[in-house]
Amino acid sequence: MSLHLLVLLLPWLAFWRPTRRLTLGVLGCDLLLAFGLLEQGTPTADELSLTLLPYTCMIYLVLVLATPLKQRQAGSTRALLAGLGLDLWFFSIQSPLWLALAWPLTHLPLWLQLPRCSWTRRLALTFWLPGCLSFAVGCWGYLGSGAPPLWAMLALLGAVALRKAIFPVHQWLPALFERASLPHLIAFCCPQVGAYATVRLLTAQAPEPLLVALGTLALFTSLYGAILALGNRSLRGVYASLFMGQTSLVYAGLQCTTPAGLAGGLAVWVAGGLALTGLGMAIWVLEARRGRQWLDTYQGGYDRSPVLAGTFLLLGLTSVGFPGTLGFVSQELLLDGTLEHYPQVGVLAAFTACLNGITVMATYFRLFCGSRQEYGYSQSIRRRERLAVYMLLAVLLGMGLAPQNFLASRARIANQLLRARALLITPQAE
Amino acid sequence: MSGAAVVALVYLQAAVCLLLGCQRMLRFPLSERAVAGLLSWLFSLCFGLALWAGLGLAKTGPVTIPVGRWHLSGGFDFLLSLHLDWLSLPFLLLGTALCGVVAAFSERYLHREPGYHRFFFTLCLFGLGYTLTILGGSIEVLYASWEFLGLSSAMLIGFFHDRPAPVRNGLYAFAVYRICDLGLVLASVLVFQQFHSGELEVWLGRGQWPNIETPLTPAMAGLIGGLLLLSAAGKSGQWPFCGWLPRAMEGPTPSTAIFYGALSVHAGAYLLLRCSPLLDASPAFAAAATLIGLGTALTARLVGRVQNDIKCRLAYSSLAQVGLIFAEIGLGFRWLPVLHVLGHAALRSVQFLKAPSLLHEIHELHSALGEYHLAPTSSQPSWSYRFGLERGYLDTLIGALVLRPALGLGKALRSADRQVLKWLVGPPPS
Repeated sequence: MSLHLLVLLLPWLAFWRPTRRLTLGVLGCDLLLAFGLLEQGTPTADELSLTLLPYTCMIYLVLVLATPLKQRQAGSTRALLAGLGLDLWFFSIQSPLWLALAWPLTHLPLWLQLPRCSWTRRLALTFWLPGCLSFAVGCWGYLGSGAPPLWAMLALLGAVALRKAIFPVHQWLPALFERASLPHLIAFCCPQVGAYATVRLLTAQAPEPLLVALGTLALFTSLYGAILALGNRSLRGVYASLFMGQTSLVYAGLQCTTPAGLAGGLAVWVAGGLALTGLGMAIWVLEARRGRQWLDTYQGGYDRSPVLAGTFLLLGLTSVGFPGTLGFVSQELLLDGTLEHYPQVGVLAAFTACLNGITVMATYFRLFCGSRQEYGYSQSIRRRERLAVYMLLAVLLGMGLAPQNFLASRARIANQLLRARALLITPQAE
Repeated sequence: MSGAAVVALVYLQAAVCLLLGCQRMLRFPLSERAVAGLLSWLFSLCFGLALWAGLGLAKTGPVTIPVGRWHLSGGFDFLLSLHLDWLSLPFLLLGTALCGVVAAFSERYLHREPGYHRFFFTLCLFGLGYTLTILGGSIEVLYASWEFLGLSSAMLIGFFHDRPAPVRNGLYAFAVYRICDLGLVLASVLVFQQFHSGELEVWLGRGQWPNIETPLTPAMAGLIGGLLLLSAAGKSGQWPFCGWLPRAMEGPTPSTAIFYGALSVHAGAYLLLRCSPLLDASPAFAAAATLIGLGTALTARLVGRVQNDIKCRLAYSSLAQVGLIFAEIGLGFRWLPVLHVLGHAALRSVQFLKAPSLLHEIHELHSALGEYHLAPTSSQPSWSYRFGLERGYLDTLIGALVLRPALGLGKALRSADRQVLKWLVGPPPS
């Protein structure tokens, strides 16, 4: 059995008996194997897919490590394992037919974890069903030989916008974050399946105006998310808006047909995804101790949980591209790579990061400072949560200080994509 | 010789910063005495190294020390380099000396304060940020360290974080920094667009400061200079960003002395002096710097006269002096502002450090002689008195023109999203 297949199948090993120890063992092994596969290479997947495998494994491992005691349920862990298995499979596919098949399946783990309240499921169905149909229609247009028709690309654009919550079809994301299980939602959003579909199906073949339209909408979403977060009283609402704002920058990079801009978009994808996973995890850990958090009053409690407070601040600043972190170099590359051809991207991305930075700081102060409130129980983070935090910080800070290999890999992927685009677009133009 | 000393100085500060940052996370808390001793020795050693570097500088002249390549991607070369010349040396000596003095002073002043370790960690982070700002050989190092200055400053303003007021003021300062830092980000991106490198010698020109000629066109020099002026004005509390400095007085006295009396408040002046070739190339930039400086000096003079709190009064005196320094720089002086900064920083930090003892002595005097109050006798016209009491109406203006509209917009967007969801899915369950 090839190593690639082993990486894809390993998460399912623990599916039938998802004890915590077995799940962690399986996820740890899968992460190591995915790194091994990235090092070794395989003819069945290109560099883009290979780098996304360890990235996805790490997101899920962090989420399982951070699962609080009271929320350990077999069904919940199973949903995470299934989500990992499906995401890994999705990131390994290049054929439109298989992508069309896998796309709706990636929604299933979260769908099954949604509260049985009819409104939440109706909300998800209202946005996801048209997305899945649109994706299937788009992929169908890609099946014939020759260049895909414009309607297929437009259908794909719609599907991606619905999945990623891009303006004007973004409303489901903040609403779902308020109501759904946080780790499952993070697992659903952070790997960014929509970005992968964009790279595979649109970046390589779509005409430039279509990509620019996607990028412009994403950029607007980014600014929209940043403004939405200002003055939001719900912690989850702030996180959802930050998520919307920061991950939309990925699409602003993916619209670029310049190597630096595209590489910047690919770098922001991984850096932002990991940092936002960490921030989401910190919020989840906090909620496990204090319950749902609202930001209309100062909560205090720094002295009871200094490590958690520090972790929250560090991961929050990382997610908005604070210097010294991977987010910073990624955003810097995106800004530099886009300013020549798309100056609006550079200016708006910088402005969004600025607003999001203020939001992170305001949230930190509201959550941990400004009050002498005493909590009668321990708020320190546990060993496993600590391990998850250290792992993420090691990656985000380590790669932020020495980013050459990571960025060189993004540049290689960007060049491959642009070469493929040149091969596919030039005959069409002729 | 000077290169090795400068690199050793930076690495030493970074190592101690890392040690202090990790001690709580890795569960090996150092004692109060050990932390304060470590910092005092660190900055004393750094001062010695700076002197040694100065001796080397006298022999070799200005040096640029390449520390390594951060990354090379997308045709952009991000080099990590340090630059030591006759401008950076006095600022470096001043910074290391004052940090050492404040570390020694704080050992007793903050004895048994709950955030003792946090204070020293933030001081160390500030010291590192300041050193890198002064020695940064490229615009990206300058930007990264600039952000560290802002973060450490906000953290120290909100040091007494069980009270809402310091926390609110810390956030206010951070927001001003963050918005003004947009100027530095965009300037850095423009520099990279022009030269594909951020090295100071590349875009500011080679030679012995201040006799350097920039290769930029006057228009580009004016544009980049204007963006840098925005950052400098934000960091130094110049007009119209004067409001954050008096709010910063909520922090502990040692940090107030070093940040807002001595080092941080002069960082903007340093940035302008470093970019003096741009001032020479663009008269509009020079005129803007002069006007902003004079406007600040005038405002601070009017507002400072009616303050009834010793630290606020000192803060406005600082602002007035820094405004004059900006004006001197804009008018084409180069060594005069350096001397002005050195003298003012030393005097003001002594005044700030002395302020609590002075109050104590006055209280003792009052208890010995009986309390008395002097009625304010002022020949100020009533409009200027009102202007002073309202702190130049700047906070009111920023609140009305920026803060309230931004928060209102966020609220309106959230409400619009809710309406869309209500229309699509129906009203959510309460």
